[in-house]
Amino acid sequence: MFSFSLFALMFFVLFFGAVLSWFLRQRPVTACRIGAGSAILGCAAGLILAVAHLFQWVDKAQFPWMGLDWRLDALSGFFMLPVLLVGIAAACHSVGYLEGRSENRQGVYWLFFNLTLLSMLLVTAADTYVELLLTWEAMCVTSFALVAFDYKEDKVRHAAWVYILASHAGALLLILMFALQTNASPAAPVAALVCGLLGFGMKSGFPLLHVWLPPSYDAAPAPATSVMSAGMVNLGICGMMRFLPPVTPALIGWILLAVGVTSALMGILLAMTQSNLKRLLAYSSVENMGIVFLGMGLGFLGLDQGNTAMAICGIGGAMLHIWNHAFLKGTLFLLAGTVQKATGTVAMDEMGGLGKNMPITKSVFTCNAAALCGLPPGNAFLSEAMIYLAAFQCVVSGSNFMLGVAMLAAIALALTGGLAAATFSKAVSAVFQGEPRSDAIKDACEAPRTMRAPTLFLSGMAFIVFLTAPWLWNHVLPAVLSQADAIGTVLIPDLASYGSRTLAAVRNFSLLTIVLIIALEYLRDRRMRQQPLEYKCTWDCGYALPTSRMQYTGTAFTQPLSDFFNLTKGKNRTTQPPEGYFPTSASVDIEVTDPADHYLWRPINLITSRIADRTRRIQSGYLHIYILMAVIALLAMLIFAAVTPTRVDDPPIGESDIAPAATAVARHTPAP
Amino acid sequence: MNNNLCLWWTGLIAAFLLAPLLKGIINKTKAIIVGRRGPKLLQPYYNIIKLLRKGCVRTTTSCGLLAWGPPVTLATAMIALLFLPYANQISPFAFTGDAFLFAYLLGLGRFALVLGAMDTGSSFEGMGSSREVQFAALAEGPLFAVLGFLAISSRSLNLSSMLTCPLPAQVPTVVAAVILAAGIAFVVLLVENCRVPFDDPETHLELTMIHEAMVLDYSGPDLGYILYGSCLKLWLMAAFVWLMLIPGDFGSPGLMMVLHILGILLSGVIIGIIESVTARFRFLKLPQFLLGSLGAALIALALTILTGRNLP
Repeated sequence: MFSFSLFALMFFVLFFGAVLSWFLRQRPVTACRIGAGSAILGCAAGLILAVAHLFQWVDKAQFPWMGLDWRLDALSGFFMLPVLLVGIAAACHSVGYLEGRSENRQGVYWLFFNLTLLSMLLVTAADTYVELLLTWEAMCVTSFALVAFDYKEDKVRHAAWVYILASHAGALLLILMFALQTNASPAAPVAALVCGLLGFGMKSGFPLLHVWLPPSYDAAPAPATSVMSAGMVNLGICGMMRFLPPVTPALIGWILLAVGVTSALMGILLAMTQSNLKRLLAYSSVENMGIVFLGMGLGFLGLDQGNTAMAICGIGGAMLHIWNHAFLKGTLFLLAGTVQKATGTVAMDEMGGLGKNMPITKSVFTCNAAALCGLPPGNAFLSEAMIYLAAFQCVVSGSNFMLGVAMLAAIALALTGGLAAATFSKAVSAVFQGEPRSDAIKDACEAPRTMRAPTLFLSGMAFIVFLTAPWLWNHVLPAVLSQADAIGTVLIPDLASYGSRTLAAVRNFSLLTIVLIIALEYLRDRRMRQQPLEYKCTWDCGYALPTSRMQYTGTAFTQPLSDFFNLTKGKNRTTQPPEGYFPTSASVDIEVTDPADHYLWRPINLITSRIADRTRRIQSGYLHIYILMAVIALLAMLIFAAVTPTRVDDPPIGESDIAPAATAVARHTPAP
Repeated sequence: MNNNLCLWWTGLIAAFLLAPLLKGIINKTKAIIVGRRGPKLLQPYYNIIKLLRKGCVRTTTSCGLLAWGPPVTLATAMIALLFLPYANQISPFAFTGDAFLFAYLLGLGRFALVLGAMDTGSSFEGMGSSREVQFAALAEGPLFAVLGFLAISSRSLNLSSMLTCPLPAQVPTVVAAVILAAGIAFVVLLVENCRVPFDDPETHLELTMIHEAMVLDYSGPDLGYILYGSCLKLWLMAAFVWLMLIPGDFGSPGLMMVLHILGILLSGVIIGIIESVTARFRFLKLPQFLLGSLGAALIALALTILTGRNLP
C-alpha cells in the first residue's frame, strides 16, 4: 500500500504538473513555477519510495495499475535514485537556465521535462515486456521533444532526427528480442540476447551505436542533458538486468568485456579531441559506460570461472560506477549549462579565464572533473579500484588465458584513466583558466543561486556516496543484485565478505590525503604571511606583454595525443602555413569526425539512398503501368500458390499466433 | 611496537629525510663525469630551505588553482610513500588493492600540477603540461603491466607483499622476467620524474623542458613544496625499482634496510651516469619508446603467466 500510494502520488504530481504548465504556457512565470515545483515534489515523493526500497525498509511490491503490472524493488530503487536526485537538481537549474527564453517555450519545456522524468521512472518499475516497451517508447518520444527544444537551429533538428531514429531502432530490437524469447529453436536465446544487448545498448552508448549520443546531448538544453546522461544511459543496464534472456555467463561476459574495452578507449579518445564542452562530456559518458560494461564483463567471466571474488568486485564495482558517474556527470552537465548561459557558447577554444568571474562554478567543476577521471579523493576511484581488483583477482585463481585477458583489460583501463586526466585537464584549463580568449566572454558573471545550488547539492550527493561506499556495498548492493534475476544467476550472498575492506581503506586514505593537503596548504599560507606575497603579470620567460592569444588552447593542449592516435591527421585537417619572410596570416582548421559515423553509418546511408534512387524509376506516374504491375504480381502469386504443395499438419493460424505470446507473459510474470 | 615495525618506520623517516640527497647525488655524479666540481651534495636541502623562507610572486591571471598545485603534489607523494615495504616489512598501512591507490595518487599529483601550470595562461607552461599529460597517459600502460607482473609473481594484491616476495632464483625465465620488468619500471621512473631521455631538467631552453616548464611561474614556498615533492617522488620510484630487484628472503631486516638505502642512493648514481652519456630523445620518438616499453612489459607478463605461475 505504501509503495502504491507513493508511486501514484509521484505519477500524478509529475503528470499533472506537466499538463498544467503546458496549459499555462502563455504565463511563463506561473508555468515555470508549476513545472519546477511539480518536478521537485514528484521527485521528492519518488525519493522516499526509492530509498525505502533500496534500504529494504519495505518489501518489494508488485501491483496492477491502469491495466498494467508494476514492480518496485531494490533494483528499481537503485536506478530510480540517480534519476530522482539529478531530476530535482536539474529542475532547479532549469529555472535559471530558461530565463529569458521566448515566452511560451517554458510551458513546452516543462511539459516534456516532467514527462521524460516520469517515463524514465516508470521504466525502472516495468514488470513485464508490455510495460517496458510502453514506457521505453514514452521515454524516447518525450526526450526527443527535449532534444528538439531549440528546433529552429539546423544542427538541433538533425540531432533530434538521428536521436529519434536511433531510439526507434533500439525499441524495434527490443520487440524482436521479446519475440525471439518465445521461439523454441536452440539459436533463439543467443539471437534474443544479441537483439537485447543491441537494443538496450543503444541507450547506453555501445560502441558504434553511440553516434546519436554526442549530437543530441549537445542539442538538448543542458539540464535536460544532465537528466539524460545521469539517468537514461543507465536505464539500458537496468533493462539488461531485468529482461535479458537467461544465457551462460561466459557468453555475456565476453561480449560485455569486449564492448567495455572498446567503448572506454574509443569514448575517451574522441572526448579528448572535442572542442565543444558538451560533446566532450557526452563522449566521456560513452567512456564511463564502457568502464561499467568492462566491470560487468569481468564479473560475469568470474561467475563463469567460479571465481566469486572476481564476480563480486566486477559487478559490484560496475554498479557503484553507475551511481558515481550519474552524480558526477549530472553535475558537470549542469555546470556546462551554467557556462553556456554565462558566455553564450560551448566552444572551449573561445572561452578561458572564466574561473575568476565564476569562482564557485570553477571549483565545483574542477572537483567533479578530477573525481570523474578516477583520481583518488573522488568517488569514481572507489569503483575503478574495485574493477581493477576484479581484473587482478585472476592472479589468485583462474586459467592462464583468463589471466592474460584480465591483465590486458586492466592495462586498457589504466590507459583510459590517463587519457581521461588529459581530457579533463584540457576542459578545466580551456574553460576556466588563463585569460579570456574572446571579448564576448569578458563580462561573464557568476550564475544566480538557483543555478549554483543544484550543482552543490549533486556534488554533495557524490560525496555522500564516497563516504558511505563500504556501507552501500555491504547493505544495499546485495539486495539490488538479488533482484537482477534475468541475467543468469547473479545471486551473490557473500558480497559483504569481500571488497568492503578495500573500499573502506581506499576511502580512509583518500580522506587522509585531503586532510594532508589542507594541512600543507595551511602551513604554507602561515609561512607566507611573514613574507611578501606579490601579484604580477605571468612571467612567461620574461615576455612583458602576454596576450590571451598566446596561451595554449584546448585543441593545442591535446594535439600531441590526438596526433599520436591519428585522430586529427590527414584529410580532417586543412593547414595554411605562414608563408614568406613577413607572413600575414596562417590558419589550421581541424574537423574531428566520429569514425563510427564516418566509416559505418554514412556509407550505409549513402548506399540506402542510392538503392532508393534506383528503385524510384519504377514510380513512373502512369496509372496503367501501376495496374499492369499489380496484375503481374497477382499472377506471380497465383502461380506460386499453385506450384507449392499445401501442408496439412500446420495448426490453424490464430492459435499459433496467440500461444507464444501467452507463454511470454507467463515467463515474465514471476511466481507470487 | 616490535623491532621490525620500528625498522619500517625508520625506512619511512629515511625517505622523508634523505629524498633531497638523491637529487644531490645525481647532480654530483653528472658534475664529476663532465669534470666539474659541481654543487654540494646537500645543495637540494639548502635550496628547499631557502625557498621556504622566501616571499612569493604569483600571477594575476590565476583563478586560484595555481595555489593548490604544490600542496597536492607534495601530499600525494607523502601518502604514496606509506605503502612501500621498508626493511622487508609489510607496511602497516597495506591493504588489498593499495597498488592502485599508489598509482592513482601519482596521477592526482600530476593533475594538480598541470592545472596549476595552465592557470598562468603562459604558452610555455601550456606546452609543458600538454607534453606531461601525453607522456603520463602513455606511461600508465607500462606501469600497470608492471603491477600486474608483480601481482602474478607474488600472488598477492597489496604492494608490500608484491615487493617483498621471495624470488625463485632457480628458474631462469622468472629471473629474466623480473629483470625485464624492473627495467620497464625504471623507464616509468624516468618518465614520471622527467629525467633524461624523456626530459632534461637542467636545460635552459624552456622550449625543450616538460616538468621544469610547468613550474616556471612558481616561486618561494610554492616552489619549495614542488621541489621537495619531486624529490620524494624520485625516492619513491627508485625504491619501487630497487625492491623489485631484491628478493624478499635475501637477508635479515637490518641488512635489508641498509641495502635498501644504499640501493636507492646507487640508483641516483646510475641516473646520473645515464644523464651524462645520453641525450634527450626527440619528442616525436618518445611515445614510440613508451609503446615499446609497454610491449616489453607485456612480454614479461606473458613470461610469468606461462612459466612462473605454477611454481611452488
